[in-house]
Amino acid sequence: MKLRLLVQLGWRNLWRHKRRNGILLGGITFAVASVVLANSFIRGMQVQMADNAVDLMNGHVKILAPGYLDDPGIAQSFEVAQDWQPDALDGITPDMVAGWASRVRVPAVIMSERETRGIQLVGIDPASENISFVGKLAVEGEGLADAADRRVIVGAGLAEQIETLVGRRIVLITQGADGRNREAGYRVAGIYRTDSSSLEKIFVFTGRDTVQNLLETNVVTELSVRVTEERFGPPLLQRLANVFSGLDVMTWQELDPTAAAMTAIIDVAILVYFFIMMGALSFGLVNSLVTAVMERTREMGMMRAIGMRPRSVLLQVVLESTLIMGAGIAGGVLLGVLVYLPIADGVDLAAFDEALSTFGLSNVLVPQLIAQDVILVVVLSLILGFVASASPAVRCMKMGPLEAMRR
Amino acid sequence: MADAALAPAAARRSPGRGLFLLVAWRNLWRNPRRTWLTAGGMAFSMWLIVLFMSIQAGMYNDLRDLSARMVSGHAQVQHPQYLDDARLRHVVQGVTELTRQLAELPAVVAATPRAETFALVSADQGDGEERSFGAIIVGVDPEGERDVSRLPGSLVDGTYLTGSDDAFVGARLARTLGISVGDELVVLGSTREGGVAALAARVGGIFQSGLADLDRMLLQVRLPVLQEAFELGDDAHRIVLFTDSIPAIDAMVEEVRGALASAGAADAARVRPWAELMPEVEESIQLDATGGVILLWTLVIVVAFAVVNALVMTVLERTREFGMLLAVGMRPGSIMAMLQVEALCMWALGTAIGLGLAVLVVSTVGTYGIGIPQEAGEMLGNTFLVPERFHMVLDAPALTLAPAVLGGLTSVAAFLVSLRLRRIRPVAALREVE
Repeated sequence: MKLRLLVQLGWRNLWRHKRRNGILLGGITFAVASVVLANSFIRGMQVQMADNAVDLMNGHVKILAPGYLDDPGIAQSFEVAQDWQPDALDGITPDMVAGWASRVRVPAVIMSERETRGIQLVGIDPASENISFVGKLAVEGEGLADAADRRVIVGAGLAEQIETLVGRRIVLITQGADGRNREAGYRVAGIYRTDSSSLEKIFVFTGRDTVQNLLETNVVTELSVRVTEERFGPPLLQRLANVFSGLDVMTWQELDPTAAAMTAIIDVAILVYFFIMMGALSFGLVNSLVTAVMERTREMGMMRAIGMRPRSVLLQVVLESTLIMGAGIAGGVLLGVLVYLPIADGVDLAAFDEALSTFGLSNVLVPQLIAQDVILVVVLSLILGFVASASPAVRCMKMGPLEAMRR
Repeated sequence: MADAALAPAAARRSPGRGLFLLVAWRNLWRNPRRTWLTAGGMAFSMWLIVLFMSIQAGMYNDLRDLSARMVSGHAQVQHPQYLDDARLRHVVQGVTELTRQLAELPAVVAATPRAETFALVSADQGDGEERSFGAIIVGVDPEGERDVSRLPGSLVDGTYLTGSDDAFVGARLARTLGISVGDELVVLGSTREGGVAALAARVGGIFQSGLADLDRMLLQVRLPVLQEAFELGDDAHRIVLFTDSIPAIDAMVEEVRGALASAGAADAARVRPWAELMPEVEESIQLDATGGVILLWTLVIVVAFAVVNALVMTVLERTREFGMLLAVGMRPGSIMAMLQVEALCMWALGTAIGLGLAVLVVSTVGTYGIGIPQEAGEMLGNTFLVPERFHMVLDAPALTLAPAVLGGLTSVAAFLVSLRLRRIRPVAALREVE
């Protein structure tokens, strides 16, 4: 029997029970839409976590001196040529690299007239910090002008703790490579705010040359490179590892294992959510299909008696299931996208402020509707519809025509 | 109809309740496959929801308990401003006496004072060089601390504050400073009045808590040592309180608040429950719990569609039967009631199976706990506390919420479906071919 005829038959059969199939369709639509939406939220979190980890001065790839992570200090450092460029490397083109920045990051103690705190002193070149959160800081007062700027910017949380203000002076104490402490006074150029109050209390920024002068050295402690797309990371890592042999060349995943583990967990969470929803849905689906087959036993027997092949009977049941599943999936994806569109710019989750910043997330969660996720849902749902129809279809096929017609 | 008129009025109006239940139950088994599939869908969703909520509840309990034992305690008495503005001068006065009073309260299982400040810690490298690092120095009562904190148990080398000038140092801090047990270190900071505070100590022990921040930033000494060096007298910053369990915290907080008021210390000292001390942990829990509630509702709604469908099929198939029942004098209301009972029987079956399986899993696997490999903590970069075993906890909301919501939806579904009965005309229905 021709497939087209079977599809037509299946389609008409579905319309024989408008209400039942309508409700089933509603169930599938709802389940698929909820999975599509949940996926977009979970992905949004994942993208944001990864972005934040990269933003947190890690870059996609970072070069450190061996031992720096265990004992961060100027003793674990290296030299970078002034005119060094990652896109001059073999096989790396400029459009693959979003930017790079070298920094001097050392533990230090900050003292105001009133209070003393431990901080991370980061010497930066402001012009190259568009690759990290430092370039996006909201600064009250002035930002740093260039790598030779002798002023500092401190976080709002720290400024409050040590009771300092824009224009005031603070003293920084840090340790040189020789183990001797260096100490100097600096003026506060600006006070920055971020989503995370703990960041504000840790990082104090000044010009890179300024920290090098204080420590009487020309070395840096880190070099971060950001790529334009995640897939350019591995080839870059390879090249950098060749160039900087003897140094640690690390990915953001290695530098921030928490964020990396969370993003890995999320890949699994998407599948788990799908199977939970579809598992619940499959009970109703099988129920409807079984009923649809059972109430048509006589009819099926007759079809067999007038010459329909068992294979065609089986195919027809599968087709019916696939048709309604297909319609439900289409409706579900459509509904999911319709709900997604108005919230595509982000959802405000201010109520969970502190928890979100603990996970490196900002208050506004931007859901990410990714084509691959939708395709995965569509394909897996179709497979589910196919599997759900297996038992009723086989039952239907096995029944002899006479036996069926006698019912 | 003549016979019916002779029957007692009550019997004519409606069948007895027992009969109702019996007929409804038998009706369910006229199509066992459908009943099993529908009840199975309900059972599946309830099983998942209860399991999910029990895992969450267990995780939250472990997390709360662990962070209370590692860091904050169940509650703390602090200077009213200390929580927002941790300054050396925001102290609770006369802690020795106050701690003793609080420890006598019935709800308080343990109480111990702590004073803390930020300071520069330096260690001589033996070759004239010196390394220094900023750290948080905490003055503690070693005996009291042993009762309440897991930190003394995280000792990896040496002893826990046995000598009077001992220091208990985080492993990463010790590595950064290049010191080991027996080495000298010097702590420099500023006193409450702004003068220079200095104290010399000997590394008595080294701890590794698994929390990177603590291991890198923390150093403990005996409370009197810190009080003397920083001119604190008999003052401290926190009195850490413990009670029996997390749920008992609120009661203890009330009791302590009362005690502070009667001691006339209500203005100078405030009791902070755990949730205020570690808002990020509590908020993470709330955030995660919200995810659980969303899962519950979507799952229940998906199952509700299946339930409605099953009921629609049941009703449509039995049009003739209902026509006959109407023809022999049964009221539409009675038939609607029977459908309600049928639906609720199905719900009861699903609930019994779903909850039964969930309780079985939770009580066997969950109570014993599932071991968490050590690597999990390392994989997460030692930023979070990871318990050694994770448990599941069955609590009342987990057991009642899903069945109640699904039961309500089932009942509404049965009602909506049975509205169709009002349109059934007995004669037409009887003529209908099945």
